[in-house]
Amino acid sequence: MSWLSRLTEGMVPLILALIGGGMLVSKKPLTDRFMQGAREGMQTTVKLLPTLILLLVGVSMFTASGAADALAALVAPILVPLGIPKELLTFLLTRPFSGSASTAMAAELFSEFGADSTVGTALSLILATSDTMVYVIGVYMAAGGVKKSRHTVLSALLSMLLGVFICCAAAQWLKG
Amino acid sequence: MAGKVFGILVLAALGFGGLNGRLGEVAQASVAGAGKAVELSLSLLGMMCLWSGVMQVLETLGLSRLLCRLLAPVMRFLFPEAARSGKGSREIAAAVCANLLGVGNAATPLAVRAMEALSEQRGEDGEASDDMVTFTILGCACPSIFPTTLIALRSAAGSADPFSILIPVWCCSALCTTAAMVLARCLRHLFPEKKKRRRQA
Repeated sequence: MSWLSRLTEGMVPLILALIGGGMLVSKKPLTDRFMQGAREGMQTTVKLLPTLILLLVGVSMFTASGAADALAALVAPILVPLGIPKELLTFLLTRPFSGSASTAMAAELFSEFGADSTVGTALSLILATSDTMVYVIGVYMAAGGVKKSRHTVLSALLSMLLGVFICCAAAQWLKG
Repeated sequence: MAGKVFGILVLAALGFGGLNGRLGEVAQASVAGAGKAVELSLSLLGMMCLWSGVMQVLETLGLSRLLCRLLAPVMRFLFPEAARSGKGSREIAAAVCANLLGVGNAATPLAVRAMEALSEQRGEDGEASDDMVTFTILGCACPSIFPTTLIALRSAAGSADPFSILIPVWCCSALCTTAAMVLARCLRHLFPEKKKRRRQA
C-alpha cells in the first residue's frame, strides 16, 4: 500500500513540474497567466481575513471554555447506549469546531487506547469522514458572498451524526 | 453567517467558561484566536496565490476543460445549475480532484475559487444556491482516497498496520458522502430558494 503514499507525495511536485515545464516550452503566455491568477488569489485571501478572525476567535474561546467536556457529559446518556464509545464524545464535540484541537485530542486518544483497538478504529474512520465544519462552512460561504446558508449547517450536522454512527458500527463489526 | 456562528460560540464560551471557572483562559483565547487567524491567513495567502496561479495555467493549457469533460456526468447530477450555466464546473472539478488525491494544501484554495465562481448563482439577500450548499456539504464530508493525516497519526501511535484502515475508510467515506448528498437533496425542500419560491407563487 505504500506505493499509494508515494503517489500522493509525488502529486504536488508532479503538478508543479507540469506547470514549470509548460512555462519553459509553451508558446502561450503561461507565466503571465500564473501571475494573473496569483493576484486574484491574493485579493480573495484579503477578502477572507475578517471572516477568519471572527471564526477563529470564536472557536478558540469556545474550546478554551471547556464547553466540549460539559456538552459531552450532557449527551453521553443518549449517545453511548446507541453505540458511540464515551471516550470519543469530547473529541466528537470538538471536531466540527477546531481542526487543531481535535487532531491533538485524536493523537492523545490514539496513544491512550491504541490505534488498533475498537475505539482507535472508530476514531480513525471518523477522522477520515469528517472535517472542521465551522471553518469549511464559514470560509466557503464567505468566499461565495453568502449571507444565508439555508440548509447547510443542519445538513452538515446531521450528516456528521449519521457518519459517526456508521463509523462506530463499522469499527464494532471489524473489531468486535 | 459568520456573525451568527461567532455569536453562538462566544455566548457558549462565556457560559461554559463561567461555569468551569475558566474565564481567564477564554479571555486569553480571544487574543490567541486572532493571532491564529492571521497565521492562517498568511499560509492561506501563499497557497491561494500558488494554486490560483496553477489553475489559471491549467485553464490556459486546456487541461481543466478536459478534466471537467471527464467528470461531466457526475457534475451534471450533483451540480445541475453549474453544469447548465457552465460557470463553476471547472473549478468544482479541480477542487474535488484535489480533495480526492489528498493534495490538502490545494484543496482549500481551489474550493474557495469554486465558491467564488458559483457566487453568480447567489439569490437575493445573499442566499446560497443549491449548488453552493451541495458543494459545501461535500467539503464537510471530505471524501478521500488517501487520508494522509490519518495514516500519519496511526503510524505515530504505533499501529501494527496503519494502512489496514484504508479499505474500511473507502467504504465508510463512500457511504458517508452518499448519505450527506442525499440529506442535502432532501433538506433543500425545507429551505427553498426564495427566487424559486417567487416563481411558484
